Amino acid sequence: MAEITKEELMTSAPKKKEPDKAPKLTGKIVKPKIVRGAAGHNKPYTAKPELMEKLGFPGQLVDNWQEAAIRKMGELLEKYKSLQVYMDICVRCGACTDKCQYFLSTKDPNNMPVGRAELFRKVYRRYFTREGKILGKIAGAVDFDLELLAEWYSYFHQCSQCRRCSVFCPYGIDTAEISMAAREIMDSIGLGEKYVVEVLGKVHDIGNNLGMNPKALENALEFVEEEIEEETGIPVKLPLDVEDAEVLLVTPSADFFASPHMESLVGYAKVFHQAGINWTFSTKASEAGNFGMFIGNYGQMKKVASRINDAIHELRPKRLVVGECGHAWRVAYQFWNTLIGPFDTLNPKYPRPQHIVEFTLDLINRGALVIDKSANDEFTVTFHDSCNVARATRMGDKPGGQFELPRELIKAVANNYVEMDAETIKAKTFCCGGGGGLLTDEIMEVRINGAMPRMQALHNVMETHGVNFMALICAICKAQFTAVFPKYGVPREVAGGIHQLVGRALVLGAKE
Amino acid sequence: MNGISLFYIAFAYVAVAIFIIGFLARVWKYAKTPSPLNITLTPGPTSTTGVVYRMVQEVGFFKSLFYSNRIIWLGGYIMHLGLALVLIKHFRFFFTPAPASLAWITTFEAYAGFIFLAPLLFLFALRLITDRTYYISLITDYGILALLMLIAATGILTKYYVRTDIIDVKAFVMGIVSFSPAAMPMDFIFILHFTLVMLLLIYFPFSKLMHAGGIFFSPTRNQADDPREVRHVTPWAVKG
Amino acid sequence: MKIKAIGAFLIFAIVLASPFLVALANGEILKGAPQPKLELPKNATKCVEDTEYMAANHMNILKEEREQAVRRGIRTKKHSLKNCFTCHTDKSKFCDRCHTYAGVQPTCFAEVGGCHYAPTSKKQE
Repeated sequence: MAEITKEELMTSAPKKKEPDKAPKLTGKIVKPKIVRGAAGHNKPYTAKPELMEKLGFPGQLVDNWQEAAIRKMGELLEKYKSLQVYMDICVRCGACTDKCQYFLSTKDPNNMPVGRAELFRKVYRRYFTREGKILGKIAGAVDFDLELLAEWYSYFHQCSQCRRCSVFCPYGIDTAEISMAAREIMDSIGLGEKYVVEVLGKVHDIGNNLGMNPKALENALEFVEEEIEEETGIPVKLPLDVEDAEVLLVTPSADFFASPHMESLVGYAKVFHQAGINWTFSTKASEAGNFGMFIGNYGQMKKVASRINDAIHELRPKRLVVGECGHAWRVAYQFWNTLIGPFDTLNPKYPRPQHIVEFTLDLINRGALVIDKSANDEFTVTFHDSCNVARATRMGDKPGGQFELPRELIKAVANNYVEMDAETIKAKTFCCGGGGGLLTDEIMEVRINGAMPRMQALHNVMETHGVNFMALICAICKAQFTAVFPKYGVPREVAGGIHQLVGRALVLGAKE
Repeated sequence: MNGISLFYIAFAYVAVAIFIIGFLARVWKYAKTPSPLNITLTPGPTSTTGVVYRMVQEVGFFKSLFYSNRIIWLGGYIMHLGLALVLIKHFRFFFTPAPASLAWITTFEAYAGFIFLAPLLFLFALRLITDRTYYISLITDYGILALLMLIAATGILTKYYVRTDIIDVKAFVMGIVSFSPAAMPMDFIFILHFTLVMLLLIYFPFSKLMHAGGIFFSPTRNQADDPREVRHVTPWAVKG
Repeated sequence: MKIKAIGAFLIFAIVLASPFLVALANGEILKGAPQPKLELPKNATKCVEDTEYMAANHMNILKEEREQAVRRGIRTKKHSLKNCFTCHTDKSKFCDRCHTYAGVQPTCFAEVGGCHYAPTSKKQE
């Protein structure tokens, strides 16, 4: 990489070579020959000083950034077993090298999981190991200079923290942990990503990622109520801030606003209405997503999650259910109990928290809902396992329930279901390409590339089985696919939520 | 006893001390560094018994690697198998009398060194052949393979071609183990073999070879998938 | 958490230090491990080859003898195992002393799938 200045590093506009073009859809995922530096020009906008400062980070790259970064690295090594162990034990066997969606599409070796992690390790070895201090470059120990920092900023924002590499690593090395730590270090020296920092600012100020104030939220819910009534003639309510409800539903704010997310919101509402369960949203907890995780900042993650706790104390619901969102479900399932638990006030008879898929499927299995599967006959459905749901969470009691329950639910509401290539689903699923804080338009090239493996698998079933609906359980997946589908020549409507299918098949008023 | 023996005995104590203390210091660091959150990789076991089973599969069979890349698995697994046989074989030098329970090793006696050496060559070649692994390989990665190859080769030589009397070797090693030094067999190949092993021991705790201890502390593999049932608590995470 | 960490550490410590711990348990520290002592034949003063040569090469000599006898039918008296036992009458007081010490199983004898009964074993004719 050429000489770089601090100013160049902090300038917002990434260099554009040409308009973003999608790889060709052939149905095959081939292991490419590496092309050094092929994706090095990609970088998201850096965050504005005032927004950085609001989160407690330096406004811009501090003068003694190198010293500060190394100090921060030392601090994180003491705080995270994962980071400390994963720094030491990689043997560079090569098992992960062909497993990352960003490598398979960009061919850039720094997008191989081990290539990415080595960007971190070479600094670790230089400043924290005797091996690196004595053997230097021979042991792959390198000074942390501005060029390397620029590589960090580029490549640690081409990782969606999807954990696919960890599945294939003989030691379970999780690049997500390393990229979170890298971002935490970059934030701490004033080099933050605009998209994530802005979103976190909105959550703290207003309460959700989209920055919808309570009035806007109320309007959005009313709008959906009107839509449903217009369509079905039945007054389905979407209650807000109801005290002592049975269920508090926490869902990504995109569900209130974006398309096709809102279709799932309709689905949730119909399920609650038909089951006759008293439920509510909360203005305080109007966001299930938690971008604190993406930047590996524990404090931010806890602060964002604490809004849920506040809502529980204010509204006193008996159950806590989480809507369709991948990383949110990870934070909810794996982290909430630690961050804001224990959930002593919630009914222990139900999982705390519970996923909306678990919730709806349970109702269907108990015969509480009347379903007309033929309503979805126009669709041949496939299911995309969201990375965070697949590899960081569970649904139901048994390991792997996170794969089985959504499929059961889809099959309970739709007649035509087709599975994609076994190498691309369940634990081996590919990320949509937009997770982990990459869902921002200036790195559209990264997002298009990241979607490639999934697109190939989808293309296959579209060609062979006429699939025309890919069911999703993640707000980021939904936004990402509706954005990249057109680039691949696939209609946007192919992407939709599971509860969109549920909503269509649910027969309202059939059982009182 | 001659000067060379004295030198090597001193060298051995230094090397073994560095290895044991260094290894344990690393392991202690891994053990005491907190895991603030449950980050187990799912689908995974929901109980401690399940975690043990998962770990046995990983450590005993390299399960993840098997599903990841059969070629690397083949090389890596056979290499470690050979290493295990070679190590077990060497137990006869550390314990008096040699453990009777390891008599079965006689069956593999003749091949162990080759089962170790051949995959090392294979893995070395693999690093060079695949463009992806060539890109990530450090000089030390080749260095460690080369060191292990030399150790295996000299070991095989002392056994088959430039023989060193096993009784003398045992007396020498037991002298070190029991802190009552005995003379070193003055065979060049044996001395070379011994020197290389001591260098390996010294380098071990500072290198990627610590995967031997580190794998047990990998949070994605050693945690149970039970965050909804059990609140995962570490001091700084609950405060912070 | 602390207990788990200490437990893991102790397991590694015990494994790594096991040779020293066993030596300690056997009371060998500073005294040295017992060396093998061979009972030499009373009726002979010289082996078929030099003692030093025999110590280093007896396995090769016997192997060679076996190949010759079994494959080619050439049997010599000098290097046959039977001849060994004319002087070294008790396997347990000669062969076994070193072999047990060094943990090397000779493959000559029936107990380990070999062809011969040792002079001291029960099935001896």
